Amino acid sequence: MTRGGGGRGLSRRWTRHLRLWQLVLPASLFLAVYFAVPLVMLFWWSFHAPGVAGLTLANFGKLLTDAFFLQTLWLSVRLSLEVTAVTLVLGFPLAYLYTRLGPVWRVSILFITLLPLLTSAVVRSFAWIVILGKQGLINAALVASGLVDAPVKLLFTLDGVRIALAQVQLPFMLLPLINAMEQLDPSLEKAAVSLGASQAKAFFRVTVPLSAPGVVAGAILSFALTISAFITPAMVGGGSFIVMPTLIYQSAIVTLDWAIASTTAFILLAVALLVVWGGMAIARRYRYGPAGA
Amino acid sequence: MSAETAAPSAVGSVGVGRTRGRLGHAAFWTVMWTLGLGALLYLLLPTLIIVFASFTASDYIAFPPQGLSFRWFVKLWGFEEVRASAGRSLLVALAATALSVVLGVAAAFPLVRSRFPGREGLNAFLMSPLILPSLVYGLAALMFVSAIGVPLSVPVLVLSHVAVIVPYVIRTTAASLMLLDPHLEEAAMSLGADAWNTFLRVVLPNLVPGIATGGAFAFISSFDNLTVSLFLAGPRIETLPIRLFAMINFDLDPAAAAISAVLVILALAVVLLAHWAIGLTRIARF
Repeated sequence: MTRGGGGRGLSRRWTRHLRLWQLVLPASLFLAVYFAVPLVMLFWWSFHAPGVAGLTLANFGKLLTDAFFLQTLWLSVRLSLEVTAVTLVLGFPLAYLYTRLGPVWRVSILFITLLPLLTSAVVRSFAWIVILGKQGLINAALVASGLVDAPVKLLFTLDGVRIALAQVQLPFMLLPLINAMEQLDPSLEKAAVSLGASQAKAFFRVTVPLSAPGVVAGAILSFALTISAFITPAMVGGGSFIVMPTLIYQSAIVTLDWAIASTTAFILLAVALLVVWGGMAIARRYRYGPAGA
Repeated sequence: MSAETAAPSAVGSVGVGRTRGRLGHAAFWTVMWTLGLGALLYLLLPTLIIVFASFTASDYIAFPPQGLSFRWFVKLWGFEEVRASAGRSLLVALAATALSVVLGVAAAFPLVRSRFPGREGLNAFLMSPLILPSLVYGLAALMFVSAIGVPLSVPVLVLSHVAVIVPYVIRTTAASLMLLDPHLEEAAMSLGADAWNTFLRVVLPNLVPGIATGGAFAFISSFDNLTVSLFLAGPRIETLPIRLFAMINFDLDPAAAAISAVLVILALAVVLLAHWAIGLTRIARF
């Protein structure tokens, strides 16, 4: 209270001196012109069809009745849900360990999390091509150990893309999880254990429900980024199947059909927003009364 | 294994119950450590593999590699197209970062220090490029640029990168500003410093770590950007990620691994800078 209240007069003078609020204008105007207007234009394109005057839903009608498009949309949604589930299963234990370990471990975990996040997606996908290939690390290990006789086909398959995408998205799951779980008091779990719960029970009944906001935040981020991922499916999938971003790129650059490209982008954003909205609704329910506890 | 000692063993007055509790306890931590260490290895594996692969002595990438050498790094320097595209990417990233730092640092001040209607909404708007799929933005920006009749060029590419990376600068600068005690500014002013002196000598020096980290994140995002560039670079402006993307789709060249290793080192430099300037545990909360 004293910090904000005591210096308010001086703060106001400081504000007036620099005419502070106007400093936000250059960035805001730039993004309004170069970010918001293009997006509005994209939406405008999706409601226009060649040879049709005025606004039309023809593009949406065309796409949403097309079996191939619906199949692609479903594949994208399914893939994103699967990848999000994998990142949660791997990310949760690591985030949990993070909160229970000392500073050296914490910095090491964050280092290993942030390094791939800041490495080019092209490089990471290339690395997975090398790992998953016929002469790659996984097949070399499988053949050498005698588990398989001939190399398994992983590259240019959906499984390969799942493996690569989950690694690419794991940091986005981990960071919100770590942030949420750091807020929890470890003594809550200890209390549950001292009252007779097993460590596993305390974990599942105390820590997991209380981490729900982090799970939702991480899941939203992971889902939204997976469904819009272009580079990894294109490189590791190698054209053996098509996801929504591939479709956008192909109609924009290869077939030059901007109306279809922007309509596809519109539908992709709508699906992502729907999931974000659904996730937030779940998060709100947890905030008002954790279920299952 | 300090985690095991951190949690007390289950309370049980009966010997059998205690043994079961201990077993469950051990099993729980075994599962946690297995999944956790597995996740760490999984995160690290591609980076290790690509750096390892770049030192191969053979003409193709295979495991285990046939001998170790620096020949692909030496060879890389001789590739005219690679050098040209790397130079172009560097130019674009430096220009986009410089613009983002100017726009972003200025915007961070009012977002943290002043009160005006619509501040929260404006903040969300300025952060929205982080959430929007960059592929969608690339398409939108291409439509916009061709609608206003501007031909694709390096400045157009730079501006489109700025739109995507400016939130990083705003975010890290705003976060450092929030950690800065406003009393410091008030003290400087009450001691007679004018607004500009307060800004230049008191506020700005304290924000350098945040600005440097945001700038480094912005730089590497621009330098590594493929999806926006695919739309806005056009056929004649080839950046390094576009070059690398084309090389890898053509075949598994150790030269591509050598380029990748250089990009990994760049990422390493950014992480180390962020750790040195702000600290990774604090960065994670931004």
